[in-house]
Amino acid sequence: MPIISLKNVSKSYGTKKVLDDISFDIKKGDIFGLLGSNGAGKSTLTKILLGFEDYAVGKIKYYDGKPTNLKSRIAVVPQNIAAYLDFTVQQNMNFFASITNLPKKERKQRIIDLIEWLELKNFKDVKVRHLSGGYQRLVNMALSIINNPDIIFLDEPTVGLDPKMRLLFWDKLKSLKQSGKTLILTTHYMDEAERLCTNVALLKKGKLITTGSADQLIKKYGGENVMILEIDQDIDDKTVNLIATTEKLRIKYTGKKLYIAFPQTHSFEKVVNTIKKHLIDKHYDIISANLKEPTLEDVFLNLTGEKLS
Amino acid sequence: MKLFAIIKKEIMAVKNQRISLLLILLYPVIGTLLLGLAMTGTNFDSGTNIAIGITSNSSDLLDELAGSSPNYTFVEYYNVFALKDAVQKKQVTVGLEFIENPGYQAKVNIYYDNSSITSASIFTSMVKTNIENIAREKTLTTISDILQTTNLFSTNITDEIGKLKGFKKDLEGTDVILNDLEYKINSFDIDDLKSDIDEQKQNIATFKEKNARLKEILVSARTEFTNLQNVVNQFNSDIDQYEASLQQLESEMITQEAQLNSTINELNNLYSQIPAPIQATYAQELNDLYNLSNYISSWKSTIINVNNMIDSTNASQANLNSTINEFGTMLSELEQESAEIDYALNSSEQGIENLESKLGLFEETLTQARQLISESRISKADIENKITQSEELFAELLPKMQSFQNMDPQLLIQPIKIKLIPTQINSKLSGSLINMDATQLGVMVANSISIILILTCILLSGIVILSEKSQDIPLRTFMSDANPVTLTLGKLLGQITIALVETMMILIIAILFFGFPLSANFVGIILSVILISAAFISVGLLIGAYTKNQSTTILLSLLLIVPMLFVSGIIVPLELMPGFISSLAGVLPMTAANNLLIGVIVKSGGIYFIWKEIIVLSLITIVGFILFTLKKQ
Repeated sequence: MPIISLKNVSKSYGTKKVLDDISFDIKKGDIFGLLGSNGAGKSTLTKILLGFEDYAVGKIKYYDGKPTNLKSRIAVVPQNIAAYLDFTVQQNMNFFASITNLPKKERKQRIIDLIEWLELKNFKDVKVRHLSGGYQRLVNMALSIINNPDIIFLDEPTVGLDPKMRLLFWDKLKSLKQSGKTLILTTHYMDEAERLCTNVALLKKGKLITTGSADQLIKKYGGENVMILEIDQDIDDKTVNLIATTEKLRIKYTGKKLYIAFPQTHSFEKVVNTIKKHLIDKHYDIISANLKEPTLEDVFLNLTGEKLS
Repeated sequence: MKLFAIIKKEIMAVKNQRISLLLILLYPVIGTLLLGLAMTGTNFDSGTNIAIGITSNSSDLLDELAGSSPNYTFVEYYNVFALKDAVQKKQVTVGLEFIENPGYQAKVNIYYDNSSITSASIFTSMVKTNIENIAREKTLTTISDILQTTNLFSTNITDEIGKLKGFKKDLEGTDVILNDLEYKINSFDIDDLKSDIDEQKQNIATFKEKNARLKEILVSARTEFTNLQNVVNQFNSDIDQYEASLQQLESEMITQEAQLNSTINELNNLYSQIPAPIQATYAQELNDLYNLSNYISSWKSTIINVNNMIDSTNASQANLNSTINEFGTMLSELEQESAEIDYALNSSEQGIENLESKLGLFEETLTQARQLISESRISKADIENKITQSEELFAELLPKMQSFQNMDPQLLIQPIKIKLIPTQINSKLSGSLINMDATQLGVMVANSISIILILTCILLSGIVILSEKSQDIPLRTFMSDANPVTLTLGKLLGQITIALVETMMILIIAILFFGFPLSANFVGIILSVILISAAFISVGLLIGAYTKNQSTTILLSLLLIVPMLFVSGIIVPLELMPGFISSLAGVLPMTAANNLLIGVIVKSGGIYFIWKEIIVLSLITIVGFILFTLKKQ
């Protein structure tokens, strides 16, 4: 049962079509990634899903009525730090908790739990302005989910974070997923989407290119695996052509490095052994052999012809 | 090059923010235009209309004041209280009460609204200056009048001195004539004349006495005697005639009686012969004849009596003749007396002739004296005429001179006493750092609160909203469970609390340093500040909601604040502005706020003076609140 279902949703600003016949489902407990370059229609689609904007054509179905009636069950984690920067963490939490419908006692406990969960205990009396970017983003998320919503929209939640904070943030998002929340994530980071998202939708110029899980998309649209071989001396053209023709592989080479593409269905070890046999025959020694599997980035590149990041 | 690059960057920074650029370009246009329009009223030749309240239309001073400026429009009120009320309600700029009493110092009470400091100082000074100019004109007229009268008086005095010299000359001529007359009179022997006159007087007195008596006797005697003689003669003649006639009548009556008696007898015979029925017919006629016969008989006896009386009268007639003879004798005596009088008259005649010659001389002297008197009379009449003319002239000049005598020197120096009366209670404050009365202080506090509130409320709330917008906080609050009305109301009340704190600070400073009275209407001030700050904050919220960056917010806020300050009446009086600007200013929140606070702090007329401001500010608040709430949604 999808928690949100879009069918043939379109929207135009004047004569410019910003969303064109978008259809997909978001399941409960998903981390759903909305991926696309600038101008793909992610923001417009998010606004429509939040009920901030109308749509001209199509249908959006929520599991429980209209989005405006679901305000207390939907949260937005904006890209900006939507907090009073000169308030402390506690003051911000207190204020935004006070404008929810949570009972007073529950409110207090919720704040304590969030501060604990997001590891903000040591910073609760620090002004938000004085926090690092990573903790500001955690506070930003804490303020958004203070009313314990079911659906959480996140707009580029890890932009500008260092790897450590980024991992911490991912952990928290995974933790939210585990607690049954549905997360809709807008991001430029393909690795983030690949790691976090259970399903993604790829958008380009208002059109839905494809949707599905990262694995499915990579398998379907990611292309071949690439093996990178390093040998002890510069390879000659004849050897390369021989291997490519005999084994039916696409090979690129430069000096001592060979880039050998092979289907995802083939075993890496088997391919290495086959190539190794040809090289030994020609008196080459293999120094190293590495595998580069396709990513969502590759999927995006393959489907749209452009790089996302 | 680096410097030029920085300069270029600064310009580009403004240029790239179109709204800011537009506001920067609009600033000088709107600011200069508004200030220029606001100040155009200070050129009184441009037809600025200044309403002046008066208590009476019938005043010379009013006419002169109306003539002193074409910009004045006068509105009449039925008494001073209504006038003061109109001034307080700003229906008129100033109120004038004229107290005029001809010949005395006029008084003009100028009522002004001291709760409007700039208006009060400009317009009361202007009207006061006009009245002082009128007073100066009056002084000038009075002094000119005095000088003219003095000059006229001087000219007349010179004339009068000439006339007096003429009188002196006339009197000298009269003196010569009188000396001549005196000489003539002195040369006249008046004692001799007196002696003659006395003698003649005596003679004449005797003569007069005798002559008078004689005249009386002669006149009465001659008249009586003549009448008597005539009567007697006539009487004698008549008596003789009556006697003869009576004798003839007596004989005729005897004859007639006999004939009648004979006739009656014949008729009796005839009567006895006629038949009895016919007798009755003639019985009456026969009876009448009897009666006639009896009548004739009676007349006959009467005549006989008269004859007897005439006989007796003949005796009296003899006595009368004797008396007349005596009277003749008496007349002879009178003739003797008359002869004596003639003698006396002849002796007097000579004396009188002597006297007459002396009298002729005297008459001549008297003629001269009469002539002299006549001439003197003419001179006197002439002098009298001239004196009358002088009297008239002096009578004409005298009231003026008297009016100058009675004139109060103060009236000459200050013909109009001007008193400036503020319409607000105006007591000096103790403990004040500066020389300021209660009204001025109240106005200062009101101005201070309204200026500070407009700056802080609009700017602060605008910037707060903008900063929240830039932080995506509206998104968060929108996604919260609070409804938009609650969010706007909370924001409004929070900002009002800050405004109240600021107001408290102003009031504390006013109390501690300027002696602002603790008896002031603090509840009214607080309620007013709540309403004012609500209106200002609503404007600020709207600005913040509809602008996208801080510079635009500040510029737009100042674009509203600065012109509102220009036209609020704090800097330039509203009355000096063109009609449409002052009308517009009346509905601007700054003007309304200032007027409301002045109404609450300075005026004690309750809601009567401030209801318009309350409506304006409430409307701004409500409209701002609704628009902001809708924008948030």
